[in-house]
Amino acid sequence: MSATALALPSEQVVWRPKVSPWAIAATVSMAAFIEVLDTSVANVALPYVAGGLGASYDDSTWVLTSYLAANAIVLPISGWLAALIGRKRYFMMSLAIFTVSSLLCGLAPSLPLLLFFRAVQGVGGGGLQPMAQAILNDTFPPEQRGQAFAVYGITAVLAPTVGPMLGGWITDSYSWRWIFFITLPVVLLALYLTHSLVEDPPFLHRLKSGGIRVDYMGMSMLALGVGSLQVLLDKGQEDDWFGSHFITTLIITAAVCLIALVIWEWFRKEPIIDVRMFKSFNFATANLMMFMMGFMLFSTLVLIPEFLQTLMGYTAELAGLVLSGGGVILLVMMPIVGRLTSKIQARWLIATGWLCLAIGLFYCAHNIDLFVSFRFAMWLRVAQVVGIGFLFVPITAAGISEFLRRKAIVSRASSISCATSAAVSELPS
Amino acid sequence: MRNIGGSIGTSVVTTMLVRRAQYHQQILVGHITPDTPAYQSALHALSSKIAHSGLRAADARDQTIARFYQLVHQQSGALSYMDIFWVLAALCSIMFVLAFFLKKNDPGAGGQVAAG
Repeated sequence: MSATALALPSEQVVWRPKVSPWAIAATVSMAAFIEVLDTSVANVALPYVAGGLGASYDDSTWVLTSYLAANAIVLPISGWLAALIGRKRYFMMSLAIFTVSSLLCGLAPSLPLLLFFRAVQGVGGGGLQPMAQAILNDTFPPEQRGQAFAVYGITAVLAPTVGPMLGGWITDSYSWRWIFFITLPVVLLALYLTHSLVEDPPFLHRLKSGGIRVDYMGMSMLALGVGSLQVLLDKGQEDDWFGSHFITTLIITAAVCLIALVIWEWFRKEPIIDVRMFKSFNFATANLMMFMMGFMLFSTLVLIPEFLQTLMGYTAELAGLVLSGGGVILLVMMPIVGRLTSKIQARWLIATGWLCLAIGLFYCAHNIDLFVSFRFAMWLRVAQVVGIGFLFVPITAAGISEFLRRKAIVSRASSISCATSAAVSELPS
Repeated sequence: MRNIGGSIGTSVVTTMLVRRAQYHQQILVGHITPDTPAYQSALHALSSKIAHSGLRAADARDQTIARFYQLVHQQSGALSYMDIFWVLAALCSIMFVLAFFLKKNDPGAGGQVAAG
């Protein structure tokens, strides 16, 4: 994709969208929110899905796995796809696929069909997150980006918290089918608003018209590697890891594909993932930290409710409520840290974040017992979440700072390292 | 990266929870064999209390043992949660140290981009 990795012309810097950037921010964040919500909303509904479709509970967990696997495959190549067909068109196509498949999921007459539609939904949803970030990045001037991404960050972190509560409430009061139908008005609205508000910046068109040679080899290794990784992580515990032939096969497939992918992309002139960016210490460290942040955020998100439900007899709804305090804290912190990032060096903010997180978790390790009250459990969650609030925005700032300073020519490849680089590739340098 | 971290994190944590709980349960069970005097007296005390509420002695004894099992199960579960929080905290401390090795960035450069 060297044809597309041009030194970007200066006109893009002055380009601004015609409508208010905040209207665009609201639109794309809404789409991203629904996407993230859908990763977690079905969790609590699984027993009902299994019952309703006459399947076993074990089989029904594939409802989550199929979505996540499809998501994981599409996410890293979304930047590349957007370059191929145009960002706005790709974003709208993703939304359209998501809408239709949500409807079909809700109507699904059998489990295999539901799983198929869920996978299609995952394909549609995979493009929404990185594209939303890329659009935000081009829509706002540098001074406002911190706040814009704070708004987006709230949706990305809040959605997995709200999902299980919302899903539980809908399935308890109505039917599991409604967890799919309920997204329809929101995605349709997002589709309409995207159509009328969002526009591709002029420099994107030019990049698009450059000749693109497709790296089919890299793409298939990526899809196979990431897909198997996601499935094995989801099913490993249940099937006892190396005790199962299925999981062992997946582990080998994932390892071989991903290692081969890195070697392949390293020597390729036009990679779909620019692995050479990892030569930058800051970029590599930021990716490691982003990985660890996801590790902490999602594992503690599982730990606290599970502790309360299995050992202390809380209901799912009550356990979800314990998490709400943490959600509120993030809501408050995100904009503040977004603002701080444009004043204080990212590394000091990051250090503060990890310190808070470490203290919070040590405190949990020493104080959690079977006599914790609802209020205390809620404070424990707050202690865990405060650190994460400090990390989200600054880590990205640190990761791409080197590329900004050097005015490096960044390949328009989206990298597995996330959206950082999906966003980096879209950055006006 | 955040998503993969999340998947791996959840997977590691749930596996660790089960393994550590088994480990702690094994150790705890080692302390409540029929020949430990403390266990014997606790067993006796609780079963006589349950028998008092109207159950036959054999049933009361069964129920007492069931309750002890539940207790062991709960305690080993709680201990495994403590272990995991401790490990997570240690990992965060490593990241804290690593943060100081990051190079300086220019806060005004407009590089604030959230990563997903």
